[in-house]
This record gives sequence, C-alpha cells and structure tokens, in this order.
Amino acid sequence: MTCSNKNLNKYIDGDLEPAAEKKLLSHLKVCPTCANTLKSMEKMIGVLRNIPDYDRSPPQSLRRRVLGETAKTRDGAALLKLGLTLATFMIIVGFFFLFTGDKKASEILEYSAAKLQDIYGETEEISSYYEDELFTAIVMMIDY
Amino acid sequence: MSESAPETFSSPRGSKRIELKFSENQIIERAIDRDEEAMGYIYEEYSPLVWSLALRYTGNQSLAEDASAAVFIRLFKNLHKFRGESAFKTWLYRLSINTIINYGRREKKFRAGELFENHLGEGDKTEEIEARDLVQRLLKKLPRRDEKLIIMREMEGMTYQEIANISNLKLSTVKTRIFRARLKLRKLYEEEV
Repeated sequence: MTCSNKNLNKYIDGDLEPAAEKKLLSHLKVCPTCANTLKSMEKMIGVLRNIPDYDRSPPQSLRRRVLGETAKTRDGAALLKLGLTLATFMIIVGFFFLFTGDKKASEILEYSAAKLQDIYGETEEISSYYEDELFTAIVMMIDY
Repeated sequence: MSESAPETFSSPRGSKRIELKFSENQIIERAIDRDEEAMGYIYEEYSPLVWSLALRYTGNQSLAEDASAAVFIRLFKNLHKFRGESAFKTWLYRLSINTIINYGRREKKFRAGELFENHLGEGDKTEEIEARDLVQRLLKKLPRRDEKLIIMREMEGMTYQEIANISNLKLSTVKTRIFRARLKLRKLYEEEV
C-alpha cells in the first residue's frame, strides 16, 4: 500500500471501509511517516474535540449589555427625532419673532434652545452630522 | 423572507418573558423594527448557542462575554439582511462564528483561560493547558476560512453536511477543504514541536 493522506483523513472521521482500514493499519506499522502524521493529527484534533462543554448559562451581565446597548441606540434615534422636531418648531417661532418682535416668542425660543441642549446632552448615539446640524440650529436661534 | 405558517413559540428556559404567539419570521420582522420584546425573545432563544461557542473558543469568561456581546450587537444591526434563504439559526451561526473568530484574532492576549483550567484534574493541568494553548495559537496561523472549518468540525462536532449548509459550500468542497486544513494544521504543529 502506498502513503495516502486521504485515507488518514477518512480514518480520523471513521469513514474508512473495513477492508481499507485493515490495509491502512498494516501500512502504519511499516511506515513511520504516515504513523507520525496520524499521531500529530489525532493529537491536535483530540485537543479540540475534548474541550469541555461548560454547560453554563450566559451571564445576566451579557443580557443587560446586549439589550441595554440596543435600547440605547433606539433611545438615541427617538431623541434625535425629538430634537429635529424641536429645531423645526424653533425655526418657525424664530421667523415669527423676526417679523413681529413679540417678547413671548423670544421666551419660547430661549426655553426651546435650553431643551434642545438637554436632548443633546442625553444622547450619545446621534451621529456627528446631526450633532453639527443641531448645534447650528441652536447657534442660529440664540443669535436671533 | 419566506412566508411560513405561524406557530407558537413558547418561552425557552423560563417564565419571565411573555409567550409570543408569532412565527419566527414575524418575531424577526418585529425585532428589525426594534421591538423590545422580540429582541428579548431572540436573545433568550439563541444566547446559549452563541455563549457556548464563544466560551469554548476563548476558554475565558470575560473574553466570551465581549465576543458574545459583539455577536448580538452585530446581529441586531444586520437583522434586516436576513432573507430567509437558510434557517435563521444557520444564518445566526454563520454570523456568530465569523464575529467570534474575528474577535479572537484581534485579541492580543488571547489564551486558554481559567475556565479550561478549572475543568481539569490537578495532575493533567499543565500538559493539557499547554496543548490547548498550542493548538489555539496554531489555529490562528491558518487562513480564517480554514480556522472556521476546523472549529465547526472538530470543536463543535458538526457533520460535513451541517458545515456545508452554514458555509454555503458543496459537501465535496467542505470535505476537501477540511482535509487540507487538517494537513496545514499538522504541518504547523510539526514546525512548532
């Protein structure tokens, strides 16, 4: 029998026909190269196959981390929508103030700007693009 | 996503969650819309699978937690990409093994950790741990594709057909690649010892 790595592979998987297995085992007795190849392959595969199944449930900290992280992203998106709505509202009130000079409109603008800053402070997930947009809106409103 | 008849999914391992009377596809669609309950269901259902893979691959509780968290964060971000061409579990497993291997390769101090040591008897600790560390190091020297195949076959004990399904490869291709990967691993071993 000649050396065949394919047969060694099948032997490791237990897929070798009985007659072929018998031949291989005889060959291994007289071929140190194949015997060594099989020995080192079985050793490595044995290590991997014998890694214990730890049978442990995932820790609660993982759950908090995963679902907390995704909730933060969701809350960030909701805050972003709220911030943009508020900024739009401020632009409308800003124009109203510009044309009428109404004092009440000025107070509303100041209050809205403060709330917008709170929203910005609470969210870490808003992208830098939207951060810039929001800040530009705030600065414009305060300048008015 | 393929349509399937709705079936009842009972709460796995527990009682805390509300029982959801939706098909898995419906749960996935809700999770894409960031429905908290649906995301919780997916986490409860599949976290043992992800955790087990991460824990056996890293042998370290802290690293396994980081790797598992990376899997789920990536999963929820990419859920809309699931097209139902394979079972959800298969798709998730593919994403998990890719993420965990990438995580393991980035982690510089990666080695067989305390969990593995705790599972061994006093006498065989040193030899077993050294062997585990060696194989773990050698695995990382393989191309990613080969490492993934060896993990699925040897560490996870999957059949060639299961690996073919997860990898989107023909059965004969999987057999050939695993055969070659084993030879490469053996060559690396010979060079090291």
